[in-house]
Parts: sequence; structure tokens; C-alpha cells
Amino acid sequence: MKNKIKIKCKNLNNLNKLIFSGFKSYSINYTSQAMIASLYLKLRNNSILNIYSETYDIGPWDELGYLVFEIISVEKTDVNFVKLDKKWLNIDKIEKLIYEDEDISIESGLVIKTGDEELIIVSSVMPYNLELKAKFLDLEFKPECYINRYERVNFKIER
Amino acid sequence: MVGDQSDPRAGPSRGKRHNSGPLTKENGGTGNADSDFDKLTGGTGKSSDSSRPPGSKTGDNKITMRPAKGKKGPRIDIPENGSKPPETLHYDKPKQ
Repeated sequence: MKNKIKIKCKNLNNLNKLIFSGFKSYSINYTSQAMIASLYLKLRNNSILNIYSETYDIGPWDELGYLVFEIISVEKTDVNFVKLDKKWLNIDKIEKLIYEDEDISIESGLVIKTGDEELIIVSSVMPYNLELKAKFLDLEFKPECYINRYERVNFKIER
Repeated sequence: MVGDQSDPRAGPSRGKRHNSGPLTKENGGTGNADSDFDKLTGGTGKSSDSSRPPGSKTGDNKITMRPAKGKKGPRIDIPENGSKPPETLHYDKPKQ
């Protein structure tokens, strides 16, 4: 039987509805070795979505990452948020990035689209780290799998 | 690869990482994950400040060790380096 590992939402419901509400700014939480530990998105309602990656053991030595989402409280003095263009308040589409194999289906990433831009958030080739790609970011991009290995699946809003 | 390839579980993972056994003797391996991590990081390992499992350590060169957990032994994650793919070294769980 195929194991299905879904995006993990720790303290929130309707993740897609939250993201569809749009976001104002972001902050990247780096480790001291300059790897991406997590991404903060400040949502339209000013709550802060923390996104990070954990790993799932498929076999004795094989593992793949999946995304975890939680709402957190952050003191203003702790984090420098970078303001985003207003277009990110109007999200057109959200897609899940799913690794699919004969024995596993795992939700390893998310693509958030507005107009002709997209933000890709996906588990890193380094376990427990994230990789990010967008026009407004100038970062190396090293996802755990080749990006075209993931299937893009529409993450529809639940009404 | 710097890790042992003799185990049948060694080889490409489903992602881009390569799974290997412990650091080989030719590369200074001792069979002990803590000692090998110190060797690979030049002793620069510090507690990880990310969502990694408690007890994880990362060196200045981004090489990371995750501690044994449950039935799993320690793992050392080595980033890609030039033409070498990223590699995870797997160790047996230390006997109590």
C-alpha cells in the first residue's frame, strides 16, 4: 500500500485559505551556517506563518522531506521582515509539489503564484532545510529532488 | 564518495543525495560517528539552530550530524562539493 505523507499543519486549519488571503512581507530564518531553517510569511491579517521541513523515513536509509506549517508569534524586534509587492496580497494559484513513487506520495513543496510570478518553497537537499525560489530572491536553489521530479497538484481552496 | 559503499543499502537515494555507510578508513574514518564528524568539520561543530532533531550539530562547512533516534543510528549529511553529490553517512546505533 502506498504511504501518503501530507503537508503537516501544526496549529492551523485551512492552510490554503490562509495563503490565498495573501501576504505582506517575508523573513528568511538562516542557520548560523547560512542554510535556510525556515521561512516566515506575514499574512494579510498580520499573523505569521512559519514554514520548515522535516523528514520521513521511507526505508532503512532512504528519507524524503515534507513541509510543516505553523502560526507563530514573533516579537517585532526579533525579525526583520522584507516588504513584498502588493501583488502578493492577491494569490492566483497554489500548487503542491508532490514526490510520487510506487510506494510513497509525499508533499515536499508548495508553489504560490501571483500574476507571472511564483514562490517555490521546497525541502532542501540538506535534510531539515528549505530551498526557496522567486524573482524577488537571489538565492541558490538546491531542492532535495530535481524540481521536475515533483508533480504539481492544484491546492484548491476549501469553501 | 567518502562513505563505505559495501552495504547493499548504499547507493543513490530517491532524491539527489547518495546514501553511504560510515566514513571509510581511507578518508580517516574511525567507525564512531562523533569522531568522524569532528574529523569532517575540523572540530567546528555547534548545536544546530534549526528544526533538526535535538542533539544535531553542524560544522562551519555545513556538514551536519543527526543523533541516533529510535532504531536509527547517527547520520552525517555532507553537502555537494563540486562534482561530488551530497552524501549521507549512516552509522549503526551505538550499543547501550
